[in-house]
Amino acid sequence: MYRQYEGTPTYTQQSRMSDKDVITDVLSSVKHMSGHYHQGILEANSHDTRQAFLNLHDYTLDQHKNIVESMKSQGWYNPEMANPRNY
Amino acid sequence: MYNQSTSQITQKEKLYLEDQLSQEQVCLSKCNQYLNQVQNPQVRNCIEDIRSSCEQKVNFISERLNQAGFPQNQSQRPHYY
Repeated sequence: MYRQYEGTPTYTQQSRMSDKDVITDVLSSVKHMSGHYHQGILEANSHDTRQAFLNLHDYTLDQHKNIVESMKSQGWYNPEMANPRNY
Repeated sequence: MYNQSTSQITQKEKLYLEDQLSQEQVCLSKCNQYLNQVQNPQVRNCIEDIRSSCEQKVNFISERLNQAGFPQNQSQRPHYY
Protein backbone atom coordinates (compact mmCIF):
# COMPACT_ATOMS: atom_id res chain seq x y z
CA MET A 1 0.00 0.00 0.00
CA TYR A 2 1.29 3.43 -0.94
CA ARG A 3 2.09 5.88 1.78
CA GLN A 4 -0.17 8.90 1.72
CA TYR A 5 1.69 12.20 1.65
CA GLU A 6 0.11 15.29 3.08
CA GLY A 7 0.94 18.44 1.18
CA THR A 8 4.08 18.99 -0.86
CA PRO A 9 6.96 16.62 -0.07
CA THR A 10 9.82 18.47 1.56
CA TYR A 11 13.09 18.93 -0.30
CA THR A 12 15.46 16.87 1.76
CA GLN A 13 19.22 17.18 1.94
CA GLN A 14 19.48 13.56 0.76
CA SER A 15 17.95 14.38 -2.63
CA ARG A 16 20.51 17.07 -3.37
CA MET A 17 23.76 16.20 -5.15
CA SER A 18 26.87 17.20 -3.26
CA ASP A 19 29.47 19.45 -4.89
CA LYS A 20 31.71 16.39 -5.16
CA ASP A 21 28.93 14.47 -6.98
CA VAL A 22 28.43 17.40 -9.34
CA ILE A 23 32.07 17.76 -10.31
CA THR A 24 32.44 13.98 -10.61
CA ASP A 25 29.50 13.88 -13.03
CA VAL A 26 31.00 16.67 -15.14
CA LEU A 27 34.35 14.84 -15.15
CA SER A 28 32.60 11.68 -16.34
CA SER A 29 30.91 13.57 -19.19
CA VAL A 30 34.16 15.19 -20.29
CA LYS A 31 36.02 11.85 -20.25
CA HIS A 32 33.28 10.30 -22.37
CA MET A 33 33.41 13.16 -24.90
CA SER A 34 37.20 13.01 -25.09
CA GLY A 35 37.03 9.40 -26.26
CA HIS A 36 34.40 10.27 -28.82
CA TYR A 37 36.52 13.10 -30.28
CA HIS A 38 39.47 10.72 -30.50
CA GLN A 39 37.30 8.31 -32.47
CA GLY A 40 36.19 11.22 -34.67
CA ILE A 41 39.83 12.00 -35.55
CA LEU A 42 40.37 8.38 -36.61
CA GLU A 43 37.21 8.36 -38.73
CA ALA A 44 37.70 11.78 -40.38
CA ASN A 45 37.75 11.78 -44.17
CA SER A 46 38.75 15.39 -44.84
CA HIS A 47 41.62 17.43 -43.46
CA ASP A 48 39.20 20.08 -42.18
CA THR A 49 37.06 17.62 -40.23
CA ARG A 50 40.13 15.96 -38.77
CA GLN A 51 41.46 19.34 -37.68
CA ALA A 52 38.06 20.22 -36.20
CA PHE A 53 38.03 17.02 -34.12
CA LEU A 54 41.65 17.60 -33.11
CA ASN A 55 40.80 21.10 -31.85
CA LEU A 56 37.75 19.79 -29.99
CA HIS A 57 39.82 16.98 -28.51
CA ASP A 58 42.45 19.47 -27.26
CA TYR A 59 39.72 21.66 -25.77
CA THR A 60 38.26 18.64 -23.99
CA LEU A 61 41.63 17.55 -22.59
CA ASP A 62 42.11 21.06 -21.19
CA GLN A 63 38.67 20.80 -19.56
CA HIS A 64 39.62 17.42 -18.10
CA LYS A 65 42.85 18.82 -16.64
CA ASN A 66 41.03 21.76 -15.05
CA ILE A 67 38.44 19.48 -13.42
CA VAL A 68 41.05 17.04 -12.10
CA GLU A 69 43.19 19.88 -10.70
CA SER A 70 40.12 21.36 -9.05
CA MET A 71 39.15 17.98 -7.55
CA LYS A 72 42.70 17.35 -6.31
CA SER A 73 42.76 20.72 -4.56
CA GLN A 74 39.57 19.70 -2.72
CA GLY A 75 40.98 16.29 -1.79
CA TRP A 76 38.38 14.53 -3.96
CA TYR A 77 40.79 12.91 -6.39
CA ASN A 78 43.36 10.72 -4.70
CA PRO A 79 44.62 7.96 -6.98
CA GLU A 80 46.47 5.29 -5.04
CA MET A 81 50.21 5.17 -5.66
CA ALA A 82 51.81 1.86 -6.65
CA ASN A 83 53.89 0.38 -3.86
CA PRO A 84 56.97 -1.58 -5.07
CA ARG A 85 56.99 -3.58 -1.85
CA ASN A 86 53.62 -5.10 -2.78
CA TYR A 87 55.02 -6.40 -6.07
CA MET B 1 45.80 10.70 -47.25
CA TYR B 2 42.84 13.03 -46.73
CA ASN B 3 40.32 14.53 -49.06
CA GLN B 4 41.15 18.23 -49.10
CA SER B 5 37.57 19.33 -49.79
CA THR B 6 36.78 22.01 -47.24
CA SER B 7 33.00 21.87 -47.19
CA GLN B 8 31.62 18.44 -48.01
CA ILE B 9 31.59 15.83 -45.24
CA THR B 10 30.85 12.12 -45.20
CA GLN B 11 27.76 10.67 -43.59
CA LYS B 12 29.91 9.24 -40.78
CA GLU B 13 31.52 12.62 -40.10
CA LYS B 14 28.09 14.25 -40.04
CA LEU B 15 26.77 11.70 -37.53
CA TYR B 16 29.84 12.12 -35.31
CA LEU B 17 29.51 15.90 -35.37
CA GLU B 18 25.76 15.83 -34.67
CA ASP B 19 26.20 13.31 -31.86
CA GLN B 20 28.91 15.39 -30.22
CA LEU B 21 26.85 18.54 -30.68
CA SER B 22 24.03 16.98 -28.67
CA GLN B 23 26.49 15.74 -26.02
CA GLU B 24 27.97 19.21 -25.65
CA GLN B 25 24.48 20.71 -25.39
CA VAL B 26 23.63 18.25 -22.62
CA CYS B 27 26.87 19.14 -20.81
CA LEU B 28 26.01 22.82 -21.20
CA SER B 29 22.55 22.22 -19.70
CA LYS B 30 24.05 20.28 -16.81
CA CYS B 31 26.56 23.05 -16.08
CA ASN B 32 23.76 25.65 -16.06
CA GLN B 33 21.73 23.47 -13.71
CA TYR B 34 24.69 22.74 -11.43
CA LEU B 35 25.63 26.41 -11.17
CA ASN B 36 22.30 26.94 -9.35
CA GLN B 37 23.19 24.46 -6.63
CA VAL B 38 26.95 24.24 -6.01
CA GLN B 39 28.23 25.89 -2.84
CA ASN B 40 32.00 25.62 -3.13
CA PRO B 41 33.48 28.72 -4.89
CA GLN B 42 36.26 26.72 -6.53
CA VAL B 43 33.82 24.16 -7.90
CA ARG B 44 31.64 27.02 -9.13
CA ASN B 45 34.57 28.62 -10.97
CA CYS B 46 35.52 25.29 -12.50
CA ILE B 47 31.97 24.64 -13.75
CA GLU B 48 31.73 28.18 -15.14
CA ASP B 49 34.91 27.51 -17.13
CA ILE B 50 33.54 24.19 -18.37
CA ARG B 51 30.27 25.86 -19.37
CA SER B 52 32.17 28.48 -21.32
CA SER B 53 34.21 25.79 -23.10
CA CYS B 54 31.05 23.82 -23.90
CA GLU B 55 29.51 26.95 -25.44
CA GLN B 56 32.58 27.44 -27.62
CA LYS B 57 32.51 23.81 -28.70
CA VAL B 58 28.78 23.96 -29.51
CA ASN B 59 29.45 27.03 -31.69
CA PHE B 60 32.47 25.38 -33.31
CA ILE B 61 30.60 22.17 -34.21
CA SER B 62 27.55 24.11 -35.41
CA GLU B 63 29.80 26.21 -37.64
CA ARG B 64 31.45 23.10 -39.10
CA LEU B 65 28.04 21.57 -39.86
CA ASN B 66 26.85 24.86 -41.36
CA GLN B 67 29.90 24.95 -43.64
CA ALA B 68 29.01 21.46 -44.83
CA GLY B 69 25.46 22.53 -45.67
CA PHE B 70 23.68 21.28 -42.56
CA PRO B 71 22.49 24.44 -40.79
CA GLN B 72 21.86 24.01 -37.08
CA ASN B 73 19.06 25.70 -35.26
CA GLN B 74 20.59 26.54 -31.87
CA SER B 75 17.24 26.82 -30.14
CA GLN B 76 16.14 23.37 -31.29
CA ARG B 77 16.89 20.62 -28.80
CA PRO B 78 18.52 17.50 -30.23
CA HIS B 79 16.72 14.17 -30.35
CA TYR B 80 17.59 11.65 -27.68
CA TYR B 81 17.16 7.95 -28.08
